[in-house]
Amino acid sequence: MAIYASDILNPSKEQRNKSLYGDYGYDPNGNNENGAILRRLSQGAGWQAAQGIGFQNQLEPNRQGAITGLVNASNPSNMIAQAQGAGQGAMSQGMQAGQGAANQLAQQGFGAGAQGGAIQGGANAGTHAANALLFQANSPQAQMQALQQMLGAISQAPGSGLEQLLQMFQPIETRQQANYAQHQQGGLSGLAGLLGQGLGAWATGGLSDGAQFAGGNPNLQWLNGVRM
Amino acid sequence: MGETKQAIGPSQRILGMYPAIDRSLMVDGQFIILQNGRCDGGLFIARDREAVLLSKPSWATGLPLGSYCCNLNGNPYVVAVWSDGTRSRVTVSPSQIDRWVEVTSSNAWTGTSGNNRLTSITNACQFAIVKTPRYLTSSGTFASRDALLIQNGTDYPRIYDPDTNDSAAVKNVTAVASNAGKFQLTIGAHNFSIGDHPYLSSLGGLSLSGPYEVTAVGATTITINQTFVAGYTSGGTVQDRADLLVHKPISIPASVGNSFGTVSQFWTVAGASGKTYASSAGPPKINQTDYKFSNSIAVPYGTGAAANSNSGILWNIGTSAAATDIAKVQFGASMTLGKQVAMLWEGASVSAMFAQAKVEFSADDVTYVTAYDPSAASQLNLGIQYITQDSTNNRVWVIFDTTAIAGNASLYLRFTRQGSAPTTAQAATCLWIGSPSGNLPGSTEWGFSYEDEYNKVESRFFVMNAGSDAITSLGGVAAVSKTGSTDTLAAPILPLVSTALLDFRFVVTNATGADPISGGLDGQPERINFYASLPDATGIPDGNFYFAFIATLYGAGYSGTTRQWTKTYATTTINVTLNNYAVSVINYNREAPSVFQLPIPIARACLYAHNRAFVGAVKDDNGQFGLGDIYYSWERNPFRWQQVQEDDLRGGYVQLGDEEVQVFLASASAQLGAGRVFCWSTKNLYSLGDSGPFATAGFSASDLSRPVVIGPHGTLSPLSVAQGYNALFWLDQDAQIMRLGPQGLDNICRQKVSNRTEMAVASRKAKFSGAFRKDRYYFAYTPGGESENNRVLVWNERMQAWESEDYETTNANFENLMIYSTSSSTMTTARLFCFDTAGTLYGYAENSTGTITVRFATRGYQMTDWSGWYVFECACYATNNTATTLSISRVSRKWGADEAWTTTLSISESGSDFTGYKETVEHTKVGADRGEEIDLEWYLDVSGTVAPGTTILRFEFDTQGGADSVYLRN
Repeated sequence: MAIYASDILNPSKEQRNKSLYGDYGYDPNGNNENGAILRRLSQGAGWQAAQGIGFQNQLEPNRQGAITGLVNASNPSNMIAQAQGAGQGAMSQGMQAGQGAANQLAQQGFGAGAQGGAIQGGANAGTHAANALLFQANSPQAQMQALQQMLGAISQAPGSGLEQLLQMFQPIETRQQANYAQHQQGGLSGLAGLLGQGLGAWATGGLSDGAQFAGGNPNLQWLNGVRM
Repeated sequence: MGETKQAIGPSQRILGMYPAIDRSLMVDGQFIILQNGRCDGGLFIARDREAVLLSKPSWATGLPLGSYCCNLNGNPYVVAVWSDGTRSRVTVSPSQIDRWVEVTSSNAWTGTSGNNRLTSITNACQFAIVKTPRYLTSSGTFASRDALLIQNGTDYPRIYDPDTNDSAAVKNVTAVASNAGKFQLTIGAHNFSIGDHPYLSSLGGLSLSGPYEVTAVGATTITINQTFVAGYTSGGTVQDRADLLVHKPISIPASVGNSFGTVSQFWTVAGASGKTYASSAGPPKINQTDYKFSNSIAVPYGTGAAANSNSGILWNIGTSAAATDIAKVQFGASMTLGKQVAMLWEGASVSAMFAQAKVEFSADDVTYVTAYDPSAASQLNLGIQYITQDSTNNRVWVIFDTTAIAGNASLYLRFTRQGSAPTTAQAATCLWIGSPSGNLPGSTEWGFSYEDEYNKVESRFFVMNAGSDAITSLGGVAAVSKTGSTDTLAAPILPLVSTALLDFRFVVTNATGADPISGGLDGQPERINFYASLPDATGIPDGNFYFAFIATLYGAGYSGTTRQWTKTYATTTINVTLNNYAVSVINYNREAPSVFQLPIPIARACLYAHNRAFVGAVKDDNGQFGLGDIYYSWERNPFRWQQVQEDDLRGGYVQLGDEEVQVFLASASAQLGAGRVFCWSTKNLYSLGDSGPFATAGFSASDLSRPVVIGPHGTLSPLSVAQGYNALFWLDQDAQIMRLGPQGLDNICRQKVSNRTEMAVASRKAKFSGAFRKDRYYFAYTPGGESENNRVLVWNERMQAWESEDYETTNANFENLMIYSTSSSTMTTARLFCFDTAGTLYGYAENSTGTITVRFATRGYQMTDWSGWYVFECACYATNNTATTLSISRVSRKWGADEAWTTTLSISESGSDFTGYKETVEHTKVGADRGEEIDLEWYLDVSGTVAPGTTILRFEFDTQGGADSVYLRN
């Protein structure tokens, strides 16, 4: 069943998508006014942004590590060194992403602690990604089945939240942006920018582009060509 | 015409006081005033008086800035924060309520330079009990405890944790004596000084228990501020505890940390010496040509410069090898076997060679224990695993499960051929042998946080860079390429694989503070918490980190009587090794903090409910106030907070616009019993949560992030908020006493007692105080023209009416009403306490001795026609005739001022059961305004002093009509 953000806005308790409500912490039987929803969204926006970026930071290197494992399971030479190199890239990307999230949080009015947390969150995600690559490289005998399961899980990434996120925010923005902007300049537009950062990275490559890891280094070609 | 009117008695029960409406509009049973009475039984019963419990500390200035009654881990306390004129100090009065003990200090384990007293001497304090998280460490299980959170809106939160695990050495009491009438305890050499508050327990024959103030010290004695009584027998302890905590954000050192897989036990494989290869022609043949161990002297591990330093163990199997042939090596030092023994071998046929090799260890070359035996059915394909390290160089990890033989200290390694000879000669070189003492998977991922556990403050979380030690640092050879004799590859590192068990070491940054720090740590981390993420089914950690162990950065100690903190590590970067660590010790009920982790925000308002803590009206790290900000903690961990909400079990944050948070309270809000957290701002009453039906509401962070306005009835009197059964009470910003019950909001003040509240002193709004006890809501306020809470309006839930206005003329006023729960040995455990403005603690209505002033004034009575009339004869029957005097004013309504006749009743009948008062004399109406005796309306105002508990059984009067002079009672 398709899920639309308009479900969230549906005042009818009978017609709304109760599952989606539950996913996002709403009481499906409650009287969820738009105002409350917007508060909820602006409240959660920082998290959504940080989570979106962290999501990619954490997921993509794992995914690449899994693909790498598949490709290189029979030839683990230099895997560790390559993983370490790729890990550095992941860490760098994670830190950049964290900084971006922090900037967006600042624009949303979150405090210094939240911004520092976003930066650290990016760094942690990058480190975790690098570690995952290293563990993967250390384990050339990791079972194919496990790797394929991993890939399978990651290939279902749209079901892990981003799709719902997109569907939630876009219609809400369309419907509410005018009124909201009258009251709080930069409110939802900031939200959109924030989403753009998280989701744009997803759509345009970001960490999903293995070439960012490998670059022109021929020793890291096992990372190249890995795409979503 | 005339008739008999009964104002109180069998035919007319008291309905309550309604001074806010005209007396002529009242109905029978309604009174203009009911003072110091309890009337829910229908009659007027004089209440008990206040009992003096405890005078203020000598250094305190007047009324406490805040006070609270609580029960911490089964022990009741009264807590009060007092200004001494310079700082504010926290005192507690333990269960005996016989002393105030200051638990703050200028020489404590916490606070700047050991001073943990509050800096504000004017801000009101709010309190909340929080539960410390329950968790498990290698040193034991730490149960969840009650601790008291103290907030004043500007100082870092203080936490009183009397049962903390953090305490200095226990001193044993060996003797007790009197020192100037106080207890002097002999405890041996100690570090106490005057003003300290050690905790006493288990002194035989005495009831000394809990904290006491030290008033004098000797070399081996302390004297406490408690009157001496004999009776000591033996035993007892004195303990110095870090009980009053300053919850201050900690300074986070450089946040980079590295973890390294390692092993704690290994044999030195590298080098030409240290390995002995005894041989024998057999049988069995040992280290003979076709099956032997020897130092590697060939390329690549034993030539040139490497001949002495990089020699591995060469294992040769020739084409004449036979079953029972033995290859054996004796090492220079023993290795204790852990749950696995790992070896790194290089050779094209390693697995084939092991497929027919029995692997054994021995301490004495006599008794061998078996790690792997391919000939035993139970061992086939068990107990050994191969992990390719480097397929180019044919390096492979061979790992044996040695759980069954763990603990054996071994000097000897022996391989015994199990099958016939191979068709072609085989050879492999052992580069390394080692064994972990713990059982953590090699691909365990680590992270850490800094924590000042003494003050319950933890930093955000940092993931560590994973790595592992090179085998060269663990007795292994240096790595060389197969193609040459020089090192062209980095030494192999231990395998970070889930199936290989490892020990770990960590390189992290030490605290940056001085060594030592006198007094409190003042923001320096006292420890590093290490959190582990174990690999999942894929062999990769899932990124969920759980508490594993700590490294202590600062230890508490004394310098004379000064408390101080000394660094555990002198270096700026510390190297922590984690050996012998079992997976089972990982504490899954304590996950790692968030990257958005914040300590408890500084706030004015606080509450703990539904496994979360709430704070409101916040001051941030920059000193800026967010008075409309509300934070709520993680569920089940009131010390973890965050502004950015991550999920529904962690914390969150919400803002109210254009209003200030005043107070929180949790309550059931409907018949269905669903719990709510209510928040009063300066303008509105909110429920934190969804606006939907109560029954389906939860307490997820998302729900809590949505404050729903119940009504425009906030409060400027946060102390007035009280919780009754199924109802909340408070004074709103418009001086109306509100009740929120199942039926919704109700103004229980308007046209009842609103004349009182609306005329109260506005400047004392913040001091108006409320409490609920035994069906009654008590509201203490400052009447117009007065400067203290001299009166208490008493709302009775059973009457649904105002039952009394309590007024103590002789001593107490009523500040900081609070409910105190006594021990369970009494039938009625809830007591109502209050302070007077001089700082004396009282028990409300707990003194049944002496007399109390009572008063009740009836409704205004008018005749049904236009005939004038007057009150003629009055009678009152009451119990308890001791010291009773009553006066009756018969007051007529005339133009201008009321006209009173006052008559003192004399006792006309007195018996053991009751006393009768009856006024039978003619009235003596006097005064310049005296008009006709006969007026339109009369009421009766009765006042006097009676013993507490006196019941007015019956009060009635006769009326006398001007035209019909008839004595109705004759």
